[in-house]
Amino acid sequence: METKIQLTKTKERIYNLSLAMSLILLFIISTTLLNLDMNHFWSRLYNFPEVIKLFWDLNFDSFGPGIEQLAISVMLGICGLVIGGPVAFVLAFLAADNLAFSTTLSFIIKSGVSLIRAVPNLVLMLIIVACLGMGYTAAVVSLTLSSVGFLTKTFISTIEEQDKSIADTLSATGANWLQVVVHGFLPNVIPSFLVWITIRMESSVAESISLGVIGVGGIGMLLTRAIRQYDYATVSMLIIIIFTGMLILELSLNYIKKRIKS
Amino acid sequence: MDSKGVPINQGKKLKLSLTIIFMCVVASLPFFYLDVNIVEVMTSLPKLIRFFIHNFLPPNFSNLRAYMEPVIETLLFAIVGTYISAVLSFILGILMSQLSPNLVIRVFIQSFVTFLRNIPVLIWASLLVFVFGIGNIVGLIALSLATVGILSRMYAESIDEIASSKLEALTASGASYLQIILHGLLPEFIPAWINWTLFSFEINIRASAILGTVGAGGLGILIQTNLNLRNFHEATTLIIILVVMVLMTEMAISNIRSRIYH
Repeated sequence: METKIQLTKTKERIYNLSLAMSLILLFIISTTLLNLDMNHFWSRLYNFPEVIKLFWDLNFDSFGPGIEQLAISVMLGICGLVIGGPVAFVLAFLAADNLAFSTTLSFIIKSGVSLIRAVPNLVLMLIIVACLGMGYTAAVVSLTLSSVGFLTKTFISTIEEQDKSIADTLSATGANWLQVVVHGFLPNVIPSFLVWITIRMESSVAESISLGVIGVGGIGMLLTRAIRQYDYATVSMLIIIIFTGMLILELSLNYIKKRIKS
Repeated sequence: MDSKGVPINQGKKLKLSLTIIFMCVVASLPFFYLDVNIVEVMTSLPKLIRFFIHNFLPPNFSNLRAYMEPVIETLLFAIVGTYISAVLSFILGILMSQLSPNLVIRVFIQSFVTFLRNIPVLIWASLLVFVFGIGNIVGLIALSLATVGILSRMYAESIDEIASSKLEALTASGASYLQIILHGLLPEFIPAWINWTLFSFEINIRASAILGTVGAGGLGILIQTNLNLRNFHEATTLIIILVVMVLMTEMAISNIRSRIYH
């Protein structure tokens, strides 16, 4: 005779079911409120195969400029990281809870950084361009601010994970604040910091490419131009360049990460 | 006979110094090529703050009522986008992990997801607007695609972790593929799934706000238009609304997180 054993209690089943139902309800409500324009979309979707055919040829003339602009985007990303990294480094040590010698300073730094992170980088860039004008300097300033935002937060969380007793022990032997930082925390924290920096490198380059879309330079700008001119062949070429570039970047950074961890 | 002995670390020190020199070159080259002056970048910050205080404050709250709709729209975009990408990523994640039914499928999906992930959100958005025209749905698809790229990878990693340790027992007792997934994987996976989904919601809120700049709807286009028209005080109001929205979402999410993990 077959006996069926219920794997989950009935109460739990009802709870799970109602949770699932409310989530589905939330989805339905949100979708209806959003007023999605389905008809227009379906008609465009119908043309999709023809559009794909247009993308099929590649404009090899744009390969050279494409690579050059990609290099520019990567370099802008590097610049932002090179300035942002050390700044974040200093700020993080000043703001971490288990190290800070001034709670007000810590609070100011933490809120400032949250504020920078709350504003999307594109909006930040638009503000900076309004002030400094289009150009590489504006792009670098914007990327620096984003890098500082990201790295300070992650550096702080790494530092705060460290055991406070290290600081206490060292200060008990008479070390001042700087010595506690350099001899106590630094050795433990540097590998993680390097990993965060490699992670940020990828985001920085991706941001740099995206920022190009508003016209500061780099491959994003080239892409927008090609789109405006309805130059399908160039667009596909540039997309391939962007994808390949980012892929190579990701693979090299993964390699570096593995080397750091070993 | 040489009784002094040869230091073992010679090779390592050389390698380290070479790496550091290489890093310095890589770090400084972009600045020279792009003609960006580091000092200029550093002094831009006070300039920026002065410009901001002068031109962007005080914010003009007169049109607040009119802005409520784009705000809600941005929020809804993020919600619906998160739903769609969570479901899609779950399916793709399984197909990408060790639990994939077929090696060919696994490799194919992995390449597809890498393609999605390595192209920045804004580039996706520009591309989709280019193909499908401006509209709500386009923004939604761009949002989902970019998030699916990131999420599937994260899900696949968590699934691999679970699969390698806990599912052997189930297979040994003769469970079918579907049973393994439903009763073995799912319960273990849910905490990681919730964690990553909340994380993607945070990303989606920011991305949703930005997508407006390429014509896909939301607050972004309002901010950009106001900035282009030099209506700085209006722009500040919008930016403040955006920041408040992002910060509130972050708080709500940390709240949910601490609730779940007690």
